[in-house]
Amino acid sequence: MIPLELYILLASVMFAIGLYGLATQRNGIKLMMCTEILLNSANINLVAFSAYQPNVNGQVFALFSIALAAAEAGIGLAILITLYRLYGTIDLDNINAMRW
Amino acid sequence: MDLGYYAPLGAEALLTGVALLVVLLGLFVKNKNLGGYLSLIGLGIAMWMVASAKLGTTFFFDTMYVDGFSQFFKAVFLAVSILVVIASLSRYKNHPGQDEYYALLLFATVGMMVVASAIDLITLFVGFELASLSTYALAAFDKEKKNLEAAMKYFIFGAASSALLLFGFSLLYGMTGSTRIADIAAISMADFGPATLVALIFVIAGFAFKMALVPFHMWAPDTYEGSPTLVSALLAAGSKKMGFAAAFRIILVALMALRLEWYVAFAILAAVTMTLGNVVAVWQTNVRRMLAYSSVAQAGYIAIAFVVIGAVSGSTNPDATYISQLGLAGGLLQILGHALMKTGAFIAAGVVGYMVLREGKENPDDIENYAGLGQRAPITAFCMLIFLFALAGIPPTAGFVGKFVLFNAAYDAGLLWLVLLAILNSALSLYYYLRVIKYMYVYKPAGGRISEPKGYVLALLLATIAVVGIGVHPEPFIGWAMQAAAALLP
Amino acid sequence: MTSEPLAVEYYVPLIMFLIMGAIVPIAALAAVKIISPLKPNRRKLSMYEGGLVPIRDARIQFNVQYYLFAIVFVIFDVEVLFLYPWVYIYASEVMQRVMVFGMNIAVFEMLMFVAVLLLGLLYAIKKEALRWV
Repeated sequence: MIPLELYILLASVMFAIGLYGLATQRNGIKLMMCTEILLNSANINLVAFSAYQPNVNGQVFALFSIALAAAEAGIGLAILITLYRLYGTIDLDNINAMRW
Repeated sequence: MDLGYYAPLGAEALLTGVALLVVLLGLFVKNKNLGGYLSLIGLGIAMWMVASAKLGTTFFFDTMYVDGFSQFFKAVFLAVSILVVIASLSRYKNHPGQDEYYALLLFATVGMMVVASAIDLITLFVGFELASLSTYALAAFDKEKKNLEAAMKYFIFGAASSALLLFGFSLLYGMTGSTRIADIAAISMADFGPATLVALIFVIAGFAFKMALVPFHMWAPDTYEGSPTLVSALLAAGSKKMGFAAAFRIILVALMALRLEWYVAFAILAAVTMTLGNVVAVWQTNVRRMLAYSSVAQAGYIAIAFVVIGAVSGSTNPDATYISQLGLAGGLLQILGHALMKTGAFIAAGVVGYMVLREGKENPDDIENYAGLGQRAPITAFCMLIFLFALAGIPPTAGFVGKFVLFNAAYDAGLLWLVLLAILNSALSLYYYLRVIKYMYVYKPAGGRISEPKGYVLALLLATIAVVGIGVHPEPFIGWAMQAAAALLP
Repeated sequence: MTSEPLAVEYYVPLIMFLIMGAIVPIAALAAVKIISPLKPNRRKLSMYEGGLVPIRDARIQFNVQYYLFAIVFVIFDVEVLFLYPWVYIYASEVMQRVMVFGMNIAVFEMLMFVAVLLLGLLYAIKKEALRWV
């Protein structure tokens, strides 16, 4: 069996990648992809931990979070479409009227 | 099966049903405001159900719990939703998408109520996301350029915060092998590893985004300024308080073992949040942005509750239990008062926005538009005056009661520096609230008298009565908050 | 006022970790800057497309309608997920014990779930989100 540490390492690396992307990317779709990476790193954690626990709560949690991530992607895409219709771009650097 | 057993959760079930009904009716019947009136009736009945629910029962295999604490928060959320719906009856009267608006608003309320009752991480996360997703959509509802910018920022930060939260939850589950808050508390009390500390950092960061504590507040001013005004009211008064409800349950109960760590974290967060919120609010010329920063500052005051509890629990002080309950009760009273006065203040800003829009001017929230409001819209101006005084914490208002109890508890806990800082901040906040009042009552009006929309006026008056009522007659509310606090921290 | 003193040495590993975490990536980036030779020309900077000379812009625009379909699809697709845990427990004894309106509670709950999904589908159809234009 693959040791638990490796799963957690993978999840942490994915989390760091997602966070780095959130900090550096300015394209709406890419930002959404980064949040998905973040959520999926947590899912890996949950499923990996669940395999080492006597209960399946972690896997159930992962199922719920996958469904919620899909709903979130739906809302995000809808916002992005409307944004594109109004601004003609999804580059968030150009969408910054409010500051301080 | 005995359906009567589930009666304490009837409010959530009813509101879900009403929301689905509103969507369904909206597809076939085109009647102005039918959805709004249905929602209002549903929320009213739900309020009655929450008030009369039998306390102390767990449901659905120990995932939901109805106690004084959950009912306190549910009442706050319902009160905010009722005020917002009443004002929306005027605002979205002939709007083509009004059914979606009311359905989303009800779903958001249900999500917040589920969070208030959840004693299991999975249930809590689902409720949290239900409320968040509904409010992302609501923030973009008017489909103006500013709305979309606000919604996009809110969405990105919100999604990141729920991901942080989920990662923290996954570590908690890994360390304790359970998703139930009571089990996590018991196991981590006996023995906690370094990973639990990492989980604590993620959980605090995730909740701090929702509660808009500095430095996790960047989205809040933009979102509160850019969203439709009534949605800003819901976000500042409802969705933000949901963050506190969840954080109280998770941090004060499940992570009590890490008291020393989160005590330091919240002491810093509370001090920085209230100072930065108030200082930046002073520079604002946009009233809604000013209200947003004042909301950030208020979150800092509420966070003092965490510091009080962290400071006294486990100490040798013989009154430790009483002081920590008093601290939590102060936080709860501040939450109740802030929810009512912030909803009211945003609705009043909505009246001004409505007025400016009819005159065809730009920048509806600019403070110049408040000049002479006392003559142009006397009811709105008077209610705004009350809310601003309440936000500053002047008696006899709800804002004073909350701050008084909270600062008292902090003083008893020996946190004199924090009390002094908070009082200094309150004095500073009076400056920018008085500036708005000066514009409303001293400056010459820029135009004639306007007719204030009925729904807005009704909501404003209800909120004013509640804010002043709590201030004049605080005993039952303090008792209620103490009872709620005792339910969480026995 | 806490009764126990805060153990500062408890945080020393964390601070060491933060310092190391800041140094390592900066050092790596600096090493690349110093060591690697940089002689760009037009060929090197052009996009690699299997050896062919690239033609046209690589990015083509999809119809917005496509995204609407994607939204509806992604949500309904993922909701099926909940059938797996449901299948796992629906025959279990706990579920058999509780009856609602004469059915197993698991069946009743799944019917409710599907009813809500159907309402969503009805909404999508009525709002013409599924009509290809």
